[in-house]
Amino acid sequence: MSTTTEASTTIQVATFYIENLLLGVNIDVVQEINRHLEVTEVPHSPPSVRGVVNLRGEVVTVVDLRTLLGLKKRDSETNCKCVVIHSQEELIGVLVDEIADTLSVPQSKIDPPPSNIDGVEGQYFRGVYTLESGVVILLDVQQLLEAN
Amino acid sequence: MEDAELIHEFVEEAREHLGDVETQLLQIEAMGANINDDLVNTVFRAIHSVKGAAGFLGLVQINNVAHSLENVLGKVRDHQLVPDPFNVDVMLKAADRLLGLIESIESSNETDNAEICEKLDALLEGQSAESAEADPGVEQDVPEQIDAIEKAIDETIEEPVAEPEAAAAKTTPAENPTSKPVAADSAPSTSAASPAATSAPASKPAETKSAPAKASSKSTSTAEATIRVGVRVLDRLMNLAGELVLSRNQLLRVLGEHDTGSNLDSIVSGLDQVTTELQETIMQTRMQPIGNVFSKFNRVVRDLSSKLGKQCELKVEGTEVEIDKTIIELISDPLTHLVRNSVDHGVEMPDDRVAAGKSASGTLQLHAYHQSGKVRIEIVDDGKGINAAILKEKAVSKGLLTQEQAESMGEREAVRLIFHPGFSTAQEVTDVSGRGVGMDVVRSNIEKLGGTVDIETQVGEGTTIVVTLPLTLAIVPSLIVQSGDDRFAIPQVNIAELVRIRNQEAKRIEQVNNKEVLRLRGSLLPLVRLKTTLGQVEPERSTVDSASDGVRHIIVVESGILRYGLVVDDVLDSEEIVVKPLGRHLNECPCLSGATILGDGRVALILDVNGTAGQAKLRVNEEDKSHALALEHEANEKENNQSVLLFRNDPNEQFAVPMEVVARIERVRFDEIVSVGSQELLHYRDGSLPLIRLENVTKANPSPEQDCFNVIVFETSGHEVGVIASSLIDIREVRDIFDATTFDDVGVIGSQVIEGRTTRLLDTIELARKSRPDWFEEQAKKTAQVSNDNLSPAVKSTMSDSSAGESVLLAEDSSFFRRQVKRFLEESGYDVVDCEDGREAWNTLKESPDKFRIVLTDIEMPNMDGLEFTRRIRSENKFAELPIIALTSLASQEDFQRGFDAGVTEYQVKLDREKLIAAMGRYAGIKQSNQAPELAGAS
Repeated sequence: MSTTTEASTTIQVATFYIENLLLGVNIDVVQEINRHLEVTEVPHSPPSVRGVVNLRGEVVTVVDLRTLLGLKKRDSETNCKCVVIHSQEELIGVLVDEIADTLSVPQSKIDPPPSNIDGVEGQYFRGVYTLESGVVILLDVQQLLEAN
Repeated sequence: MEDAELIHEFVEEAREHLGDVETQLLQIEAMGANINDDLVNTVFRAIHSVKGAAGFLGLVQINNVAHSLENVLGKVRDHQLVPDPFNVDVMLKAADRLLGLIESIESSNETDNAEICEKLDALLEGQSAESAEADPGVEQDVPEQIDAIEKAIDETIEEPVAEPEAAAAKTTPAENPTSKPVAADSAPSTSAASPAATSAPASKPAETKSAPAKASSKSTSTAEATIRVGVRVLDRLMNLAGELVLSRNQLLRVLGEHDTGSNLDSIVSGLDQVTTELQETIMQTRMQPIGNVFSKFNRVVRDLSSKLGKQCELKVEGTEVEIDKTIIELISDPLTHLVRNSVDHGVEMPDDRVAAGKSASGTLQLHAYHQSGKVRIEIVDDGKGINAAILKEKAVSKGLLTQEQAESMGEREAVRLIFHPGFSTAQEVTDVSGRGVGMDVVRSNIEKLGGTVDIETQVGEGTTIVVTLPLTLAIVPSLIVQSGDDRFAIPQVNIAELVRIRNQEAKRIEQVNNKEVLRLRGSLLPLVRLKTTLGQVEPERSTVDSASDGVRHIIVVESGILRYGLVVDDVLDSEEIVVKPLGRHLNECPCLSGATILGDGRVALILDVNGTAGQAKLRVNEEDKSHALALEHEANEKENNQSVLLFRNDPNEQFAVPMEVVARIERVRFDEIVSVGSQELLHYRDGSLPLIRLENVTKANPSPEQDCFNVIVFETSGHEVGVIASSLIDIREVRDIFDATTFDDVGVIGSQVIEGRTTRLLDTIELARKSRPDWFEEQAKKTAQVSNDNLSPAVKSTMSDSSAGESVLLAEDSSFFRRQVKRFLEESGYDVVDCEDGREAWNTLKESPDKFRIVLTDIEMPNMDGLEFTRRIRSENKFAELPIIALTSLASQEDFQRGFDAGVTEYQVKLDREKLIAAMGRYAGIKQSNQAPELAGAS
């Protein structure tokens, strides 16, 4: 009960970069952040699925956020990070370019998202939060990780 | 919030209480007037607990039903009501109703249960007076015992949620030793029925001492014995244990590299052992006794047999055999169906049984046991068995089989027809078994679990159905294969065999209809390239041409009736893998059934054999299924079938050539064909291949003009020759009954309607002879020098007149083959005496024992088969040296061995006249070498 009152004012957001976009998700859904693990490719899987990895004995699907957002594929995956997210009772790894800070974002300061940012369609955006240096786009994880 | 939790708890507990009640009521019924007080009390307490808790939670209807049922049970307990099928039936219904109400707990208060309560109450009033008279025979010392129990119950009864069985069961033997056997009797059966049942420890004498202490602590006593744990937690534990194994392996590897030489080794091996045991123990938590499923069959058999007016007794063995929880859940329905089927279709009506000299009551046995790492469940009835002839008839009438297929089908195969889609064995569909769920569904459900089902039957004696199941679904023995950069696991249960094709054998892989097939022991196996199917790389151009890579690995996989060869890059290892599910994003991947983690920590995907076939567009339509079914039967009945390649030249004319004579198939462009004089040639490799156009040698229409042609290549007289075909249709197994009269033409052996088209079976040698007579003259000269096969007519007549061992005895039941073989033997200068079966041939041989030089015999024949014929010949000394050549269409290694054991000298393919003549020449030559000078002189 007590947590919801606090959360109604401020949420903790884990942020990361895809190209120049600073994106964020509520830290509650993030289980952990890994260096890019050894991925096994899955034949005939949807284009957004990069493959599966072994996360301490569990087979976890890894999706590429770039593909999901409709951006071009990255040349090298060596520096990628994998954000492991709880979604519908399942763990899903999300590949991002780089990890950034964790931010405290007051709910009241979250603005509705524009229909597109830097050419990226806004269908997975839940809102934006303006920083001094730029904006953080809050992702709608539920939508984003909906199968297909 | 709190209420919901309480209700949830109540539901869980009530389910547990009621879970065993059914079995117990049936036991009570079986004992009749000889009431087992312990058992009645157990049921009474279960219902009582439910009643108490329901009342507390305001679940009025559950409370009402439980109350009425409790009252009736009270009467039974007081020996005022003798259990009989009628009143037990009412009690069972009430227990069912309770379960139903508990399953839909939210709406339970809105239901109307007055009727069942009235019925229960009627039992109370109607029989109370009567029963007092009815069982005065009950032992007088019983009340004393009851008192004791009641005391025990009364103590606990105030605690409605408690489970005081343990207390009661333990108290009784202590106070009255004579009742011990009864308690011991009932305890194992209940414990077998449910491992979680708290009464299980009661049967352990060691615990008797602590019983009073436990009884006083009441509600806590049961919590120690069992604990409810979510399957998810167990799965998680399983994962972690697996991960521990990996960490251990990594540790071992690092230690190996550094060679510390310290006593770390013993620590690591300790870790090793503990890890393995941990994994095994966690696996065990998933195991449950098969009795959990078996227990419900008492009711099924009882209800069903009384409904059908039959008498049937169920005997159960091996309830303690443990098997994975998931399998227990999934096997329940298929087993129920099999049990119902046995009662419905197997066990006869009592009158019929008596008339057949059996006891009026049938017996159904369920028997579970371990066998070589698997669990086998046998369902045995002593009923009327299954009449194979009726099944065949039905299969034919349903169009699943042709009349010929049916006739050639063995009994065992015919009985297996009941597993074929669209089959129901009852004359008419009954509401018992004919619910649209056939035995085919049972079979496919069992196969989905990685199990098998088989059936054996004796008409009049009964039927046995054997179900084989893996112990667990979580761990699957698999083969790890390499394809591209990735490794894949294929469950061993799907693997029939591994085939390695070396480069020089690459010919065995052929192209038919742009599909690759492997020639494997005389039959053709469709091939699926894993790499291509999974889209890992671009498909290679053609196997036949690619001579660069070395060995090819082909895994022959099977699933249901599907059978094909999977071409992989490498076969790595056989491993027991732990199956992990794939995430929701990957649900649509048809080729995969899950994933696993290999020893090095990488994920490997598990291939779904069916899905992979689907992805590769391997055709499995209904027609193919029945075709495949026919193929299955062939395993035993191959003799009468012929594998042919169907093709067309003119699009409206269909031809066939026996597969045995086809060396390979080439696809060529029109402009690759060159004409030299009247002869068309295909330049190819180092030489040129003469081509035959059907329209030039036999009555056939020319092929349409097209860019590409298929060339069917075969060898004759040491030369290769190709027949031009505009399109290839298929490879088919067809019956070897060809009509030799309709198309009496050069190069045509006979005709048959295949797939609704009149198809001419071609004699390739005849075609070649017509096209290139020069080859045959050459050949004739050569052979004439080696043996006297091709003698002039004058010599031939001398030979047959002399009747001094020059004739060939031919035994063959198919008139088509008999004519064919006889014709070409005669053309080669042999004198042939033909017989329709082994018996006739044997009589002929005995009449003139010195007449025959060689015996040619078919194997499958009526009256006396070829094997028996061979044995008879070999049983007489004078025939010890007589060459016997067995003729066959297709045969397995075992068939060959059986033939050789009987005394067959050599096997030859029926329509491969070249080889047959060559073989004949060999034997004739040997025998004739002594006579040759004399004969030469005679001519």
